[in-house]
Amino acid sequence: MASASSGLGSLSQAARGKKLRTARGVLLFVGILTIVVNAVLFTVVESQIDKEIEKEKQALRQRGLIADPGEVQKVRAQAIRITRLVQGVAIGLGVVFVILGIIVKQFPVGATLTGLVLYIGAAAVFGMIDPATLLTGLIIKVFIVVTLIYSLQAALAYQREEREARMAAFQSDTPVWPGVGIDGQQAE
Amino acid sequence: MDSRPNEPQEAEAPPVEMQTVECWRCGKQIDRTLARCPFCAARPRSLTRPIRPKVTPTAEGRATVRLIVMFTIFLFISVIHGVVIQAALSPDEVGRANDEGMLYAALFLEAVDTVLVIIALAWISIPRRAERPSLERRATTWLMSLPVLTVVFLINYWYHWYLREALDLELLESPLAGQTDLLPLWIAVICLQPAVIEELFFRYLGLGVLRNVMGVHGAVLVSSLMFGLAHIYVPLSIPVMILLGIVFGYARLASGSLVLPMMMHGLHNAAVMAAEWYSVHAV
Repeated sequence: MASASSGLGSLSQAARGKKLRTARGVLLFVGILTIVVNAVLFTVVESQIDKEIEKEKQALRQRGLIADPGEVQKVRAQAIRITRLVQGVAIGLGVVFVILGIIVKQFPVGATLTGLVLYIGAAAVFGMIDPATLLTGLIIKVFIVVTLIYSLQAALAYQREEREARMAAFQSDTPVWPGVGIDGQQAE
Repeated sequence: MDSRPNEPQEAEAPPVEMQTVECWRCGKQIDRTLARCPFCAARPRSLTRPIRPKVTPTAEGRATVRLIVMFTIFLFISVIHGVVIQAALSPDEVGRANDEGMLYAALFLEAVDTVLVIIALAWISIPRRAERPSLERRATTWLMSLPVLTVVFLINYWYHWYLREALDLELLESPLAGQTDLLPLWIAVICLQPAVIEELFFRYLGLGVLRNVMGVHGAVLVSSLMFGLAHIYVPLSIPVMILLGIVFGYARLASGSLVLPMMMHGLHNAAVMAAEWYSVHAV
């Protein structure tokens, strides 16, 4: 009976381990994608901002107005600074996701929970900055959140079983007091 | 008695009853040892599909997931508030209508947040009561709280000053610059409601639930991360909000009650408000 239950326990642990591997995959995917996309955007930020400024200038010209070149330069410089800051933060976030993916086996609950909170929070923050990003890739976002939630539950069960197994091993190996077993009987 | 003990027992044993299963395709009873159903040729599903034990959520797991769900709803409502309501009111414009509009928008958001926290308190199981720290430790924490809060406030002030200088951000016209008769309501919105409601959610529920599933420091860190990210309407302030969350989290643990972090939170927000009021009216 003991072997059967331990067999089932190890089977469950294997299933949880698989979920954790999925979590690792998701975290690494999100991290690498965030780094790559923002690194590319980081390099083309100036041309993107110039395009936007040109659009604004054309809109002003159509209304018979001319933009002050000094003011335009100031706005351009500020826009570049802020966009680079946002993208730098996003790249840093991507690195954090990659690190969480790497350490998910060592810290299953901490890594999945932090990843989940960061992912939801980052989606909300970027949604606040640019609301269009909220709906971009919505299905993928929902998939990632659901996967991380399942992984979190698996991580909690995984951690609990690991702790119980360690406790059981500790109790069976270690006498409570020199010469006295865990059940209070004199050890040989 | 005509017994022959040396004869093999198998001959006398009753025939083994055939174990049958219901075919998943045609529904007929078939021998479970067969590789295929003799009626419809379907393969038994247990042979074709590997056994996948389900991961059943634990009580702590359910509480954690519920906490995350409530946190997501908070963020979602903040985004809606930020995008829809704040877009309708231009913070660049000044005037009583704009000040009042911003104030009532903030009041509405805080009323919704309060309802959400009440729902969260009812929905998420109350965390296990933590061990109360010793009297000496609690007294030290209370004594240290004011100097620590001063340091955190100065860090916050310096951070925002540096950000403005580094990014060359122009200060938005503060709603506090408007009519003074709105000040009591602003105090309620900025100092009182967040101190009570946010502390209930992040330090009581958040920290309490997370402490059951991870270490104390991890729980403080993740609940502070949630606290910081909840301030998405001031995205640039999130790092300093996370730092504040860490301080309030440890204050809650070391004092053994929510009163100290609530007081620290309220006092900090009052100090920020006073600094903003001073900077607006001193210019």
